[in-house]
Amino acid sequence: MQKRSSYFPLFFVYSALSIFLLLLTVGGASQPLRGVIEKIIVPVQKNLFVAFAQGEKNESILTKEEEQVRLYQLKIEEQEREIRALRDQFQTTQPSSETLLPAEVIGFESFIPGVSKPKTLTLDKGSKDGIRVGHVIVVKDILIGRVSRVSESISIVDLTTKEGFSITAKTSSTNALGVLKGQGSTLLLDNVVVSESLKKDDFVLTKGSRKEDGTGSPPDLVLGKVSSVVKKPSSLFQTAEIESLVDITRVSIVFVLK
Amino acid sequence: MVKILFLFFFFFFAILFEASLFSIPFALPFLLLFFVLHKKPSVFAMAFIIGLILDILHIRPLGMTSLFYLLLLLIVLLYDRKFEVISFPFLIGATAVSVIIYSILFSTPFLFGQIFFLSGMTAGGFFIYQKFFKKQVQSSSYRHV
Repeated sequence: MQKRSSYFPLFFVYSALSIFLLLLTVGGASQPLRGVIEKIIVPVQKNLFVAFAQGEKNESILTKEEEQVRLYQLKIEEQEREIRALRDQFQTTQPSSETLLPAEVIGFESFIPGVSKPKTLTLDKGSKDGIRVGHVIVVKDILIGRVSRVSESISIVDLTTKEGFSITAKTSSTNALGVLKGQGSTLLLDNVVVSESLKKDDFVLTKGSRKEDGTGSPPDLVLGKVSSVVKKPSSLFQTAEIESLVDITRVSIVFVLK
Repeated sequence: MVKILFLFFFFFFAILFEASLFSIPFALPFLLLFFVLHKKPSVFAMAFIIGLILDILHIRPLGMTSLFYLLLLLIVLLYDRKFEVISFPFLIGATAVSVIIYSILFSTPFLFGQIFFLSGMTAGGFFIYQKFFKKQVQSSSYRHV
């Protein structure tokens, strides 16, 4: 049995600790603590994600030997996936493979299967691997997002479909310029002047805005395909709905363009 | 000891599920339920640690989630004087309100679905606990002062 009053000192101690940590974060001094805890948690998170999110079904009761074989198979499957992704990526001529850093997806944020699509990805690489906020993420020659938060061992990527995401884009055949905007689960090519021509099934590519520090996107990375065009004679601009070419929930390895 | 280990693994996996697979605050209803049913001072430490791990995995400012959980527990503690907190209406209401605030603070998706799902989880958890550990629930309440 506990007295109510015995809770208050504890509440104040832990609240003070939380506020202290918040202040440390604001001052940028919380990295060592993050680094230590990340080293413990990230490997577990990675294994859990691989086991559950990448199509592994729960089997009925397994014997110890069967379980070991299953674990071995899982490891081989994971390595095969990694080799396949690397081979696919290095077969593409653009972006050049020297500037790419492979990273494993270890989590989705804002994702409820069957209800909502992921808005962000969590990667198993962070600032210690040279990742910075603003680096773009690709799969083959398709741009899928941009790094928005980085810690020592993990980074969070805003997907192109996330609300608030925008990038200058052009169409492949007509070179019509516009701004690609994330709409939550879809993509919209906006601000295309009415005089420009937009065609269904045309590819939408990045216009390119690479900075000296390696952040930003190079030109001609694929963003998606035009699925429908909305053109009103009274309006200054036309828009187009863009279909993404990657099912992000099935991707296990992505590449950071450094 | 077994109970502590069980709780540790339970919360650990709730946190990892929340951070990796589903963006639903799984740890929140369990923490609330655990606090209401057990009222142990150690729940404050748990709230602090769970919040800290979630902040690290989501790369949020450290201490933000911990502070939210601690304030939630404090509010429940203060309400305990005026309401019967070990009841379905209170637990469901408290879960719904805390999920709304959590969703606003940390912009998690599909708010209504989360409210129904997590309130249902709290109610289900409370039902199971009441059915099997009713004696402990009644005797674990602290003395009102």
